[in-house]
Amino acid sequence: MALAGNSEQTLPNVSATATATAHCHVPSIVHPLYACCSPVNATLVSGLLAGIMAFLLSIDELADMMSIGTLMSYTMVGACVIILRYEVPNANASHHLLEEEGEEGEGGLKVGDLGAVDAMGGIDAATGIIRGARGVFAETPPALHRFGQTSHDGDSAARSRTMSAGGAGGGVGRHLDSNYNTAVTPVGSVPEARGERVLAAAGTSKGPGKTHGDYAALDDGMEEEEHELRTHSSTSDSAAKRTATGGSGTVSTGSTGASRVDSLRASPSDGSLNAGPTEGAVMLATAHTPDTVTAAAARELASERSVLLAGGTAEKAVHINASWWEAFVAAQTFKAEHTNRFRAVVANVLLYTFFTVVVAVGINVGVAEGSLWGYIVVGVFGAGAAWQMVVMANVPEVPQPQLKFKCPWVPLLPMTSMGVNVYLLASLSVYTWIRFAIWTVIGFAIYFWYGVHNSRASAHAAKMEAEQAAKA
Amino acid sequence: MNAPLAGAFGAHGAEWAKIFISVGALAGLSTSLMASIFPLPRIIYAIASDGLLWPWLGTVSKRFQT
Repeated sequence: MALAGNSEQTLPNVSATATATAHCHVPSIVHPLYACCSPVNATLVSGLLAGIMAFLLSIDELADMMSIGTLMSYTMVGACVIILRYEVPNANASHHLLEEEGEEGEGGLKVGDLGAVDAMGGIDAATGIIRGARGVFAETPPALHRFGQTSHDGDSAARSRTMSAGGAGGGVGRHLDSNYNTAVTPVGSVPEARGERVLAAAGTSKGPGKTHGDYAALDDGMEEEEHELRTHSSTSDSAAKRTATGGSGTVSTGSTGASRVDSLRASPSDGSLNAGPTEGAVMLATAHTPDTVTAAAARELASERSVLLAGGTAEKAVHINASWWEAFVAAQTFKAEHTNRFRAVVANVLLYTFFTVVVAVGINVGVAEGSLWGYIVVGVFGAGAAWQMVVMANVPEVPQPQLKFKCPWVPLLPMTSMGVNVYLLASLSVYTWIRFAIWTVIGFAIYFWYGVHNSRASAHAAKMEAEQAAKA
Repeated sequence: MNAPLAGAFGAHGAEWAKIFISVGALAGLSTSLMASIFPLPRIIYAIASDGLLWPWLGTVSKRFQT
């Protein structure tokens, strides 16, 4: 019975992930006539396993198995809450936008299963977009006002929204895919391709020459970037296309000039980018972006703006492609603002987990025995863990305007929760850990020998890749 | 002490409260266990439907749909 409970604690993560990526492939779980339908074999197997476990193990051991499963999953939930908060919003945001857009009769195509794309590449590239767009937004509110007011052809209004939507994350990039099927990259494709696509969103938002006047209104402090923009806004659409696809030169996203094509390693081989319709897609998409979302994005950006203005200077370049080590060091020295925050946060969470594990084991073993070394280890690593909390609290937020609800105190509350959970995990008996290890090994064996090769998600990815290859 | 609250009431002579709480605890425990066991086959079914477990775990009886 406790096995069932334990599995119930650990398995939903797997299945939730699987169904999320598979995008509800099983619509008819409930039979229409009988309104009931239970899987026979699954019932037999789970019942048999639960019965055997209940027969062989004592209630205390089973309760410990439940505890270890629960604590383990909640520790991971804590880590995920932190990590996801620093991820650039992508799939969910665009899904949301597309749904609302569809109600307006625009863009009937859906993103589909792009949510299954490994987000890493998108993060790297899209972080630059966010930073870039925010630079424009933060430094030149008058220009944005002008965007809205002049609106001689409606383009400028759409454009200003493009800025805020760009700040909202990769959503713009997804719109490109959905509306015009330009620059569709296969699911699970390489980060370069993703970067390229998002880059196209940023690049085309300032592609055509007619935006030149608007961008000339940028602050004085942005001269350098303005120069770059001038250069690019004088290019024609086709030139913008070439720049975006060719991966040459320095296309700056937004105004920071932080994200450059060469840093994104845009691969010249992908010829599917098309700046012309892409730009139309951007404007279409953003013109129909619900105001609530853009307003939320604007609020987020405005709150960041005060921080930026307090800094007094234009933003420095953001090293999106900072290695894990660079990002980690930047966070440790409180310079995470200018690095890949996602990597910085992941590295810090891992280090914090390691510290808490050492502390928890130290308390349960060393201090319990009253040894001096126990106290020393707990003191040193406890200080390290506390320091990681300070470090994490100083990593600037990544705006998540697509979230309807945000858990408060995010780096600190989940970190505290993780610490307590790890301590409780460490106080479980060794035998519980051995049983847990055996079950985990079984689970991993099933996953890596069967599941990973046969999952719908991977089949879908392969299909998308084949389609892409056929198209190219 | 396995049931602190019930024990506390028992220690103060409130036998009825002890029984009341114990019955409540039993009901809660069995509810929670049922709630753990009941979804498990469906979880396995969902995983199998996603291809992460063998398909035979995802089969549903054709005749009874049960």
